[in-house]
Amino acid sequence: MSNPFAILSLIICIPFLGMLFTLVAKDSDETKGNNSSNVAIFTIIANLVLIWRVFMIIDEKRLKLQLFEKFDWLSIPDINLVFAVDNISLMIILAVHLVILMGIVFSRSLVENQKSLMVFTLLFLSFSTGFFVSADIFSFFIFFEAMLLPLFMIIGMYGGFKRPERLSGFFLYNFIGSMILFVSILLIYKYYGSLRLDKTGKILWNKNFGYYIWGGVALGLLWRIPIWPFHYWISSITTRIHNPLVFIVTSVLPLSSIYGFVRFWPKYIPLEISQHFIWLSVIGCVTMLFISMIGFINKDFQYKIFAFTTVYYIMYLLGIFTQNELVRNNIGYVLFGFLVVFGALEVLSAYIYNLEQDNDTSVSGFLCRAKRLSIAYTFITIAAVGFPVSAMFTNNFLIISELLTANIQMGVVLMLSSVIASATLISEMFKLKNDTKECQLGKIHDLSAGKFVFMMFIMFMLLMSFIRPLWFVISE
Amino acid sequence: MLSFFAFITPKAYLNKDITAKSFFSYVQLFLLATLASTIIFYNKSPFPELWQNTSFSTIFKIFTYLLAWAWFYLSSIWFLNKNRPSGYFYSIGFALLLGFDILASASSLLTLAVVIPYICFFYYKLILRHWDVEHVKLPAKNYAICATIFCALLMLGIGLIYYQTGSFAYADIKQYFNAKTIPTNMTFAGVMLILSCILFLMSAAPFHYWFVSFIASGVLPVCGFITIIPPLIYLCALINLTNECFVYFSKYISQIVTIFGIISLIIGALSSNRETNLRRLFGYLNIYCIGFMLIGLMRFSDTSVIASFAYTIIYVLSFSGIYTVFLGVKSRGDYLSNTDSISGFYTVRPFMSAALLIFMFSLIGLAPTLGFFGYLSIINNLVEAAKWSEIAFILFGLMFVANTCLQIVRVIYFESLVNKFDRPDKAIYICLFVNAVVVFISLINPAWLLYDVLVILGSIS
Repeated sequence: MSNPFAILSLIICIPFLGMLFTLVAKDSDETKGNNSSNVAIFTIIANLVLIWRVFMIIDEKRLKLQLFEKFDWLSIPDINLVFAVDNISLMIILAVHLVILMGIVFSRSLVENQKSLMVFTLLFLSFSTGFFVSADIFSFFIFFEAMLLPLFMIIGMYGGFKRPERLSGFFLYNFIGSMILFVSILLIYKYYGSLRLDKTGKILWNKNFGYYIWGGVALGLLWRIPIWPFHYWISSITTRIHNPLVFIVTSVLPLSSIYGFVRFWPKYIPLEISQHFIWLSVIGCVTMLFISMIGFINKDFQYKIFAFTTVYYIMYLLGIFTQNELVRNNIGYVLFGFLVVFGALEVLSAYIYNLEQDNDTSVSGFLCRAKRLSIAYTFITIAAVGFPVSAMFTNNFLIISELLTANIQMGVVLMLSSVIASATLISEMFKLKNDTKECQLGKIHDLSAGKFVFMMFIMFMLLMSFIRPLWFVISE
Repeated sequence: MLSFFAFITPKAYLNKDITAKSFFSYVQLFLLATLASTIIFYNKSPFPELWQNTSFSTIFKIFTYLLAWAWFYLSSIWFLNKNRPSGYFYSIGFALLLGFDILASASSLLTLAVVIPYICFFYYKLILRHWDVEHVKLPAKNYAICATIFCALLMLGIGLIYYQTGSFAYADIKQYFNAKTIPTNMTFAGVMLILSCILFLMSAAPFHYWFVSFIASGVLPVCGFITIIPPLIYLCALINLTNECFVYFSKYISQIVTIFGIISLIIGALSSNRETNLRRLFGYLNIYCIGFMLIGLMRFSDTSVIASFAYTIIYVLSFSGIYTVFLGVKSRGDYLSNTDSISGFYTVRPFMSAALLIFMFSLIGLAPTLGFFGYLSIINNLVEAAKWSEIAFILFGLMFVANTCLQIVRVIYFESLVNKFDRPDKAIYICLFVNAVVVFISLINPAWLLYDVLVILGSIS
């Protein structure tokens, strides 16, 4: 297996270069900022081609990190940056690219000055790609923290916040979390050197601040997941955003923590620690249940989608804590399906509710008059609630069955939460399909042909991922 | 340097028609000559018993001259725009550079006794001549009183040490205490007095009041000069003094330095948080950075010296960038200095705003900005030494500084435009671009810039 021209570094650099091109792209009133978004779309498509190439290069059956790239970075302290990938990280990178592409396509008409949005989105994409290809503790941390800068700017400039003071709180909150992780990583460095992520098993629990290291890592990562008591800042920001691209980018933040747990979490946990995990599971389940119920009764569609994503993120987190290798190896596939479904749901919902706002009308029954939108929305909702049309079905099934085996009460609460989250989405769909005379929207408001073709492609991807997760990989 | 001083001072006084551009042309020539001679004679000194050029001090001097060159260039733009005479500024600037040069290479307490009052005197002259407000005399008088007191303490400290050791030379004093001679309490007091004077020069809290009032009312070229140029030299002088003279006392000095570092860090962070005047805000941020630099010095070992040096370089680069942006924030000919006045700056000057954004995040050490290196090297050192309380103080201060920086970013990016901004000079863009290139190269591969420097620092300290 060869690694031509440092291909992993290239997939980090391409969005960065795209950002520089976007920065100099000329946009006038005539182009309505579309030049910038065109550059961004082109950049993402180019990177998708490269990611596809990486899939072909790696050995998909090997579950270990592959295609190592090492860069000597600092001599004092001695730190090297190491990049590598496996199926899990590649699937997530692919999904993040696809959802951001969806976000860009669907938010083009919503924002007047797109340039800055595209610049910071591409920067975010570059950093998030760097994060998912990181294979050592320092590159992991650098990209983990780096995502905060573009995220803060995107939310601040395009999140539609009237009181930007809240954003500083959000940034500081995340910054504290990353500082906790930073100190833990420096402790790892002190005792174990610049450790590779697949060697974290070397960190002993009972020696060299082992308990503090693992505690700090867990706390730093949990900080970004909307699990009680860390849920406040994320929910207070996310649910107020009405631009689909900004919402998608913000929702990638908890994903970074979930992925961090996949990479970092040890295979062995001493009994005296693991017995306390029951508390984390209880807190996780209660959070899931509450958020799903609030999502069900809340009228804001953004909160409903937030509730849906939170329930599943926590479910995957609990899945990782089961220490089951099979679950861990499947997390890449399930996250791929989940992210694409969530992204599609968000862009379609935002499309519908922005029409509602612009035309000052009800959207009840709109789907009866907009065929293309109806097809896409129905398919995505069905996939989201767990029907066998995407990779989410089999992998969720596996995780839930594992959680039920581990703890029946926890499994039941978890299933109940996911049922409520699904019921929320289905009731929303029925509302949109229940034709009323109040709806002023008609066929002309349906998805354009271009957007529909794009959504068809997404649906095709999801369907194929159910049949064979890596269907697009042609073995050499 | 002396020749420049002799050449330029009469011109500055007698011929007021010479423009800032012409003065800068002279400055360039003389600085180039100074830089070349510093490099060529990096290990030679005319009076080795008073000051000794070493590769260690040469590194600090080279960086200082390069920064001085850049800042003198930017200052010429300010003087041209304001149509003010600049000769006096360049003349005093060079006089101070001369003092800094000698301070960095000092090998005798006698040199300190001369050069520190010399620097204080020219600081005072700088305040008197380049003050923007009418009530110039009171702050200048306050500074003069404080400086006189600290210089007197310095003399007293040097006297106390001479009283026991019988010598002013660093090497003799080091040898005296290495020979297991137990220092008296008076000698301890002497060391602390000398140290307090250097900390006063560095504007470490609680000796920082003069600095903030200086920054708040001084004209931009002066503020930039005293923020960007001296920190490296003071750092060099402190390291030199501790490692070449007071090795015996290094344990005590490191404790004192750490305490002053923590106080500066906390005062700088907390005070910057409630400021709305940009100058004062950055003045306090500067004190925070000085505190951080002092904490980094901690053990005076090779790794702490490198960490502190790396942090100081990053901090002066960030501040030079910030002051460069300040030179471009003008409305109807006036340089703006209030946070509210730069609302929505991003909408009219996106590239300058982007530069300021990067410098702001660099100050809080957010990865992957260059500031992250500084934080990485210093906090890593503290973790190595298991200094948990210092780390807690740093993180505490960092949160406040982050809030301050976010406040500025918020005003520039998220609020609507309130002012009409003048078109900035091209030179400002050029300087920002050069700064960005240096930062970018250092970020991609820090070894390209710093490898030789780190080797020299590591071997000497």
